[in-house]
Amino acid sequence: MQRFERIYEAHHDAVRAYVRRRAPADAVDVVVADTFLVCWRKLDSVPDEALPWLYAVARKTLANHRRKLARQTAQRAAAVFQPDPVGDGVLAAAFAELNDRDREVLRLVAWEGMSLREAAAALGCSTVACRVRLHRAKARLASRLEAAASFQPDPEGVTR
Amino acid sequence: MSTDVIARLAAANPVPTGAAPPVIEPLRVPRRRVAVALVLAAAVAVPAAAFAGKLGDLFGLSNQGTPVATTSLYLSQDTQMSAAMQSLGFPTTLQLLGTQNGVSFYASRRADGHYCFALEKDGNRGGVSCDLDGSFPSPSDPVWAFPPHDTLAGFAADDVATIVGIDASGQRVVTVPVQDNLFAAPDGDYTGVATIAAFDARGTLLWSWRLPDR
Repeated sequence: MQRFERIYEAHHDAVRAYVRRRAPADAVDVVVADTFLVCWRKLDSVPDEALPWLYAVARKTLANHRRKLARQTAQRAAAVFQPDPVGDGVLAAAFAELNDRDREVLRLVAWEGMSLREAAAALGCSTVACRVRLHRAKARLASRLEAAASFQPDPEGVTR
Repeated sequence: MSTDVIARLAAANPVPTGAAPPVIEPLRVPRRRVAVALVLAAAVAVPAAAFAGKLGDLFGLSNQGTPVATTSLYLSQDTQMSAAMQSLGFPTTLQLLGTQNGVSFYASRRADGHYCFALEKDGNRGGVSCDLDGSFPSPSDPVWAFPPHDTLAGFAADDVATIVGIDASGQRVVTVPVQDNLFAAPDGDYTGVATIAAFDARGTLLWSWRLPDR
């Protein structure tokens, strides 16, 4: 029981921030609570380095939450809401073009500040696989940013 | 370029690491889920002490309550709450200690001697928590408070006369009198409460608790 308290105290803020970076505000409390409820129930299987494990649980909990919301609401857009990178519209647009796998590994490294080993644990893959995934995701994002930077709008516009 | 991508992305982090805790937005989740949210927050936020003897002695509370079956609670009919209660080892019988502002208060002891608490609000939502290692009630821990959302409610030892909710800037949000060892604020938005403080009848500060996530 004390172990659960330690985990909660040590990682609650980080898990909450993780969820806030990926979920609408009104879903944060639910997803965080459900994440720690899973932690409570599976305390024996929580590794010593608990944070990547918690991130993995939060990611799955968030996915479940989105699926449930998508079933319940006609406004499907609300169900797939994800906060964009802020203050950088070009980056946000390029980031949005990536697939979920790319976005998640980039978020873990850039936003959660995780090492490759930690990110691999959170994603449930090997460190080598994570390294490859991160490399490719960075390349794809860089490519889109370069394309955006070189884009020159047609001076004639698009009206015909 | 790729490294720059990470740096650029990090600079655009919507929730920067180490940022001041945000003011929690008013909760607009389904009420059933609010109850689940209360489960863990309360369970981990309030440590407790080993108890023995009858209910009143154990709690240091005058209020003895009346027994009710755990299955009679709305919470036990809710799938998620029922699962949480099972995980926490809730007893089959609880003591109903009273009702204030639409909040019904329950307490009991589970098999290992640790105590469990339940609140039901308006008969359609609520929260549960169990004593983890035992410190309530004691001079250092005279209040068992549930994390405030649309009410501020909990249990208090005999010496506690008033509970005060304080926001992150130190402003008083709500003052709640303790009656029969119980307190419940009127309906409202208490998500901005960051600290809960307890005072005796003379206005002496007995205890305060900074909520871990606010």
